[in-house]
Amino acid sequence: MTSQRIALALRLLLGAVFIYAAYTKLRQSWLLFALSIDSYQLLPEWAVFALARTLPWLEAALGILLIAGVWLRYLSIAAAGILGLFFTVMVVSYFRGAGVDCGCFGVGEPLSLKTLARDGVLLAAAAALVAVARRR
Amino acid sequence: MKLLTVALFLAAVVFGGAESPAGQSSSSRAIGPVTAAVRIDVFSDYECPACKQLHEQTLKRVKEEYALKGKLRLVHHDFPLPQHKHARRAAALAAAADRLGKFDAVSDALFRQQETWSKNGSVDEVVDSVLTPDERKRIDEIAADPAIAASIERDIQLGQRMKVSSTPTMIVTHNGKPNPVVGVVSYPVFSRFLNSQLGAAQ
Repeated sequence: MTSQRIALALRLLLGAVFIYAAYTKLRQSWLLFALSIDSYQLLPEWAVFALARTLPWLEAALGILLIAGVWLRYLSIAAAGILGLFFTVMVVSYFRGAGVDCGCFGVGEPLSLKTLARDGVLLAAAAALVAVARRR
Repeated sequence: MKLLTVALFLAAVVFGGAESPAGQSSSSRAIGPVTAAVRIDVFSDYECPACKQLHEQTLKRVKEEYALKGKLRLVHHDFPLPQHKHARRAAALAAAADRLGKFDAVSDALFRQQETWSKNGSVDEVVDSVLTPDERKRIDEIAADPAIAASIERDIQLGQRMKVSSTPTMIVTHNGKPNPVVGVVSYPVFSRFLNSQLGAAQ
């Protein structure tokens, strides 16, 4: 019963965060998000544009499905994977000292210890959801 | 709140003389028509490596392909960060060079030789290397003018009002709506964004 409540709380939290992250990107020009991705200086131009067009929809779908509670075992792994990837890229970019726009919730937020801590907390929540979902 | 921020920004730009030191109109710090539908305000620090990268890889081309062709207005603002001990002196010398009509030459030299002067503090020598003997004599005097320090301070305050917290940050304004662009962006991606803004403006 307790693990079910924990799973519910975690998937509602993560689902809401993913939906909000998608909303902040979709309400503005996708090219602004492309600029955020480009500021990481990790991807070629075509990949920047492809990711800018698709990632917000992926986040929205993931958020909705997490809140719906379907395929939780697989979706929790997907959420942890995406957040883990984001966290790695952010840590590398932060310590490389590059001027980078986080791009996490819209544009104009520089990468900082605050953004790293926030993503770290979300990653921990996703990892906890993976663990709880496996035990169900 | 957003409307207030936009209003404050526009008021500061119009009334604050933010475009050039001492309100000079022939400044190279602001290029392109004042009436352009798209305006880019660049907040930059001469000692910041990412600012050097943005200046050399992206902004030079934006200046040539857009600002000098009258498609948009590109405005430089100084935003020397406290942790960069020579950045304010560099900004003062670049602003002083603007009065001598040498802003571009000094600005380019400061970024080009950033690695050297940021380590040994030889800002003045780098600036002198692109000036004539007569200009070298005058630049110290101009840089000491309180109006130069005041213009840098105005730029910093404008940036803070626009929530600039790191460099480089560009504020791309179209139809009165400011869009912050943080960090180094490549020319191909940035130009596609600018074209979308300009397309919407036409």
